[in-house]
Amino acid sequence: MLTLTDLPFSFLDQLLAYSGFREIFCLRKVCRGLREYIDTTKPDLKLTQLFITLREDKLYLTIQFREEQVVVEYRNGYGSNLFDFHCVVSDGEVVKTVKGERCMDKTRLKSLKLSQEAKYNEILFEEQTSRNLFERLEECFKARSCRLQTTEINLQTFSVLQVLSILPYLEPKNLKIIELMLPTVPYNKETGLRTWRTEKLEELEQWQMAVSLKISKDICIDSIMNFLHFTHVCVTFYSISGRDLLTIKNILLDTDNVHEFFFKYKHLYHGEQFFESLGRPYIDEQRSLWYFRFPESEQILRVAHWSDSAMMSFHRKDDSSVPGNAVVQE
Amino acid sequence: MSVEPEVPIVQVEEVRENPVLYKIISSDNHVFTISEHAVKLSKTLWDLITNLGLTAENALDNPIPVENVNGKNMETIVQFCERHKYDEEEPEYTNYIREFVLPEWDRQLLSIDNEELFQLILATNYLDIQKLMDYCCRVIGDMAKDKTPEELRIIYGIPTDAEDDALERSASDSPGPSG
Repeated sequence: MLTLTDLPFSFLDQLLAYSGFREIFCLRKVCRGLREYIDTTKPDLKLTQLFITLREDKLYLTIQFREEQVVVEYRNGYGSNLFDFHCVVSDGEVVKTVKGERCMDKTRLKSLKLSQEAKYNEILFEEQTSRNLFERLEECFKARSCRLQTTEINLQTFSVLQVLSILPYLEPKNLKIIELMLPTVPYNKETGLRTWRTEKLEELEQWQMAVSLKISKDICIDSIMNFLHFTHVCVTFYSISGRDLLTIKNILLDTDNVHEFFFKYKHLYHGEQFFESLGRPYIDEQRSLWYFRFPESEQILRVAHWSDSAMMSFHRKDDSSVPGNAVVQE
Repeated sequence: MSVEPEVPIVQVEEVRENPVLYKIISSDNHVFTISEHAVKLSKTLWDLITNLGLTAENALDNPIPVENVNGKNMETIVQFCERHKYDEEEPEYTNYIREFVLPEWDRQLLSIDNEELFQLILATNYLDIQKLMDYCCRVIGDMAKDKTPEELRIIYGIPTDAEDDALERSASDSPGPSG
């Protein structure tokens, strides 16, 4: 009698490609042959998002598949090491269920395997209490044979060192969006330095190839030039100079890539010279606005300055957005 | 009273139909005719026809023997190919997209028991008909939805590991040709 396992490998591959992760899990448990086949070929589980949240004594792993979401809760002190899953992530396996844990979907996740080629759309690490998580993740990223592919990284952390322990292990060709946030817990003495020095980050290939950057911590930068390849920027500079502002304006007018460059600043040095060089502003509510036309284009660069709230933006817009009585500088 | 001019009534199907027909003989000597557009869905058969140099003139005089496919499967395959011969080329197979609903006609055609379906898949694989493989894959894949491993084992006719071991043991214990 003919059975599923008698069918050609090409058909099994096609079947696994069609199946969702639950079916793949389930098939894996049907018999030894299928288990070995699935473990060897590592079919794509259609994993789109990993979300790791660390709380006081629990760690939540949220795994978003194309069709559904699975949340696993790890509790400290139950049966095994809280960080067991890390090594598992490193060689493709996402979850090892630990005895005694409350796990929303324990049975199905016991031996979930991942294809190393799986492309994650987003990885969100939300650190709330422990620094250890990042060290562990770094270990397992290091152990991987290829860099993790994700288009977006969202790190919630208190320390730039932790960013440096993750970012270099992501595939730069895939990474488009970098978001570095502070955790949502209240500040305390553990919250680290007042500002982040980004010079080491700016050297990374991942930084240089990404297109969008958002950082919610005050940053001390190495060079403003390392921010001008992004199409979208939203940051807070601890300090910025009039010369930097002039560089931003000149480079943005010369290149096509930037769409919006927004920042807050804590200290602005020699800003007056820059603003004087822009000429008379158009005043709109609490903003001073200047408009510059891109060479041979219908688009303009709108420079906005909110002096009361210490914010600026350089924004590419259509010239139809310019108020009638404002001047567009050619 | 006006008189309608007499014009021959031509069915659209006939206009589109390519008159070239091929003959196929299954492993159990059933003979099938299949149109050129339909047979092109099978890469294996079309390669064979091309290599044999069959033309509109000599096609019906040179039946193609297909040793690996019996009449029952060949009948299903010919029906499928004739049904889908004018289908537009589908975009690359995106196998995990569940929104795709198998057309009712095809679901009916593939509503056979699993043993028969597996036989059909083997035949389809041999004849290299990608579209029918895709459809069979969907039918088999959909069976796995919301099932336990034990249920799947029964649905797919797979022996348990213990049964498998027993089978292997009995095979190795049985005397060989010389024993």
